[in-house]
Amino acid sequence: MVFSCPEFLFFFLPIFLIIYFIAPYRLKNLTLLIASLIFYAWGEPVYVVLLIFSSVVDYTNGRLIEKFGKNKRLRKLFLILSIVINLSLLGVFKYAGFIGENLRIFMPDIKVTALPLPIGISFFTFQTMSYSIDVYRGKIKAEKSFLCFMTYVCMFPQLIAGPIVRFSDISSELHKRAPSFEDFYCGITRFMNGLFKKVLIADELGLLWSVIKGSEYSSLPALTAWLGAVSFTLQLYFDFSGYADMAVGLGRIMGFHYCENFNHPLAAVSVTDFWRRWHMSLSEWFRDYVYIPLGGNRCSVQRHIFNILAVWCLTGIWHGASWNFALWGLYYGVLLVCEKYIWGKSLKKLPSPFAHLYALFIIVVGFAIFDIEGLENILGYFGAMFSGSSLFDKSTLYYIVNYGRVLTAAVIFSAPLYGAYEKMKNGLSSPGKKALALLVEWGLRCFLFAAVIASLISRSYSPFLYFRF
Amino acid sequence: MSHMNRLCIIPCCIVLMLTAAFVAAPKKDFSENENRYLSSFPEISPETIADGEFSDGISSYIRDHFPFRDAFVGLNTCFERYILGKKESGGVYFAKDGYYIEKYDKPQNTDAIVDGFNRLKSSLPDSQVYMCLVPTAIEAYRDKLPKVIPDPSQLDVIEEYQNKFSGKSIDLRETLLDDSEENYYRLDHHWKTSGAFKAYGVIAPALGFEPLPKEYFDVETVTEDFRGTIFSKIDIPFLSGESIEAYISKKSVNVYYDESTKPEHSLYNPEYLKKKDKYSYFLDNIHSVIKIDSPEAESERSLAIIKDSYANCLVPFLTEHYRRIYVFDTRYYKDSVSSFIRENGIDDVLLLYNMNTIDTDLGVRAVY
Repeated sequence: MVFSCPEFLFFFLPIFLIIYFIAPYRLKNLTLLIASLIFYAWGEPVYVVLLIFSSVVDYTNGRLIEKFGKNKRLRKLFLILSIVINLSLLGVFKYAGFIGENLRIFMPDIKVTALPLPIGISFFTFQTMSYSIDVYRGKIKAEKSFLCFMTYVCMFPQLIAGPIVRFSDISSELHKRAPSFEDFYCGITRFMNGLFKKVLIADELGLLWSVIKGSEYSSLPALTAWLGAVSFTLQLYFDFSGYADMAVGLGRIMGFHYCENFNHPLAAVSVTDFWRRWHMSLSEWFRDYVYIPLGGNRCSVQRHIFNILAVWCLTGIWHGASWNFALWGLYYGVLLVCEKYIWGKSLKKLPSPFAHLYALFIIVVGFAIFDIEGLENILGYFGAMFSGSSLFDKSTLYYIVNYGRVLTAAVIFSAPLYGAYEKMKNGLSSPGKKALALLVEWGLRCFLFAAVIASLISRSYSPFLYFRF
Repeated sequence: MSHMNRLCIIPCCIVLMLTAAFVAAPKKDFSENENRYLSSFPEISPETIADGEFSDGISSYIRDHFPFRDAFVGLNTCFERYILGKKESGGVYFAKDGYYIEKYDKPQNTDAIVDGFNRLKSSLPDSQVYMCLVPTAIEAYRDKLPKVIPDPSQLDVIEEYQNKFSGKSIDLRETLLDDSEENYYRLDHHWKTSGAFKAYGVIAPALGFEPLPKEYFDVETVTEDFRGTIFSKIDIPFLSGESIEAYISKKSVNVYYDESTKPEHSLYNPEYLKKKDKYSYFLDNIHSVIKIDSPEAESERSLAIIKDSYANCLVPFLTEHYRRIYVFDTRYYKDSVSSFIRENGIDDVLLLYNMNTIDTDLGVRAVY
């Protein structure tokens, strides 16, 4: 199930919330857990086993790591066990088909059939790994209540598309959280904003990108190719950050404060800056559990360059079992190294509009690598972008006319406007003005919500982009 | 927190009310507006749950039976048009003067289709085989559409068909492109009867007959509330319907639907005028084969029409000239049309298709 489908909005969510708020305090986690298992099992029941397995393994490992606190070798053993099991889950269910396919180049007899990808596996394995590592490092205490731990692993808001929530962030809320109207209000607001981003902007832009992506690249005019890459960049941002908003909002309704996953990445002024703003929970994960243990930047230049490249290749591969993701990661790795050692200083002196353009150029080109499969196709698309057969044609103009307003809205809303509005609203001194602002805001929200329902009922199906990861 | 923050309850109430309405409302089996059966509640069993069939079934069940479904589809169209500023929705362009016009995709199957036509033609050495391709509203009303629409020209595609076809072509390109509002419906993908009548003015001479003048017929407006297939795609609730005309002749006909031996005596079926699907007033919707005898026809000749639904409102004009007409719907006619034509010694064969759907028509592949 995804958040932007009628089943979820009109059945799962209201029924769940009613039961959740009625349930006595000590049963709230259990209610949330059962609902999460149903949510996960919807459409693919078999893999619930995986989720339960993962919870049991990491719960046990966490307890054992703590129990043998004084025995360094045993502690390490259980940590390694946890990491090996989690990585094997990923290996078998996510990468087996890909590895097999590539091995076949050398050993044609090998037969590996790719299993269907369990939804959200990249997210929950990373969450449980961070838990084991943090227990090992002594950053957190191992969770004693299996119910609490399993609720953390399976909690449906962030289960299938992040953010990758650390146990330390919400462990106290797992045990004790007082429902408040403020949380409910903030949660609903956030959820609805995310829903609008996903349904009214990302899905619309997706239509444009799927047309351009599906056309013949050799005859694609340059402007159309750029329009396609830009619309995919915006689509992915609105899709993924919309989903994150919905996840954070749903958590908040129940009293959880998840970490943020995005901070206006398209307003970045450099590649380094972009990665501090894009999919933050993932880059922080790699920073804390891979980059710093490898030595981070406190080592020789060669080693530092290696560390950056290794981490970004892994980041790329994390997004999916396919070469274009690895290439995308490597692309960023190389650019980050260049910013660190070659043009970083001159970049800082650049007037900010140019720095924005520089960053956007890299981001847009990067997402073309991200979404176009196969090196040949990527090169074909770049051919169109940088030396298209023509500058534009009738279709280009039609795309601009037809999607102009959506694209404009997307560009405007990818700037940090909403935060500025909230600030302005909270700064209003007169209660009357504040009330008026809220009235307008909620009137607009109800209207957009009606448009969302209309859109969801009219179309057949629109899965989330981040389902593959 | 301000009291006004309680406003966030409103969307929650909207959700609960729609959920309640969904549960309480009686469920329909058939949607007249969309002309299809709606999905029924999926079967619950361990197998259907395990393979996802159950959850997919629930998903389409909810969408199909959602309260105020048609109104929401209409709202979506309006939102896309007026808020998002789009020029199309669901494959339909928003054109000027209240026209809604279906998009035309680049054809993929031209060679295969012409090949079928040519094989039919060569298997019928004793008959004259004519091909008549009808351009659709998108070609006639280019001026009502945004200047930059990328749809290819149907006229070029017709040219290609005519060059490759080995029989005779009846060319309607000059006939229907005069931008007259008499030619095509605003809310349906068919031509109007008056458009078909104009085409008849070209088709009859090509078949060797003098076309009858308009005055010969009693032109009747049979309904003024026709909102056709395009309307179903956009569902904007406040659009007014349009009229359907019938050009009625005084001569008698005997119409045999399918294998029936008991004739009907009219080419028209008024009971459809009370339903949504009013175009089926002409020749009673879908039949695999229809035999039409016209005892008072001008000639003793016979005609086989292999066609899509555009022909349904054209056939009445041709019954004035042919003693007997067979109308084939090759989607449903399972025997060989060419052997039927040979065995019955039919003089003329007319292939009649509209340009918008010929490329994807399921019957056109079964012509030969």
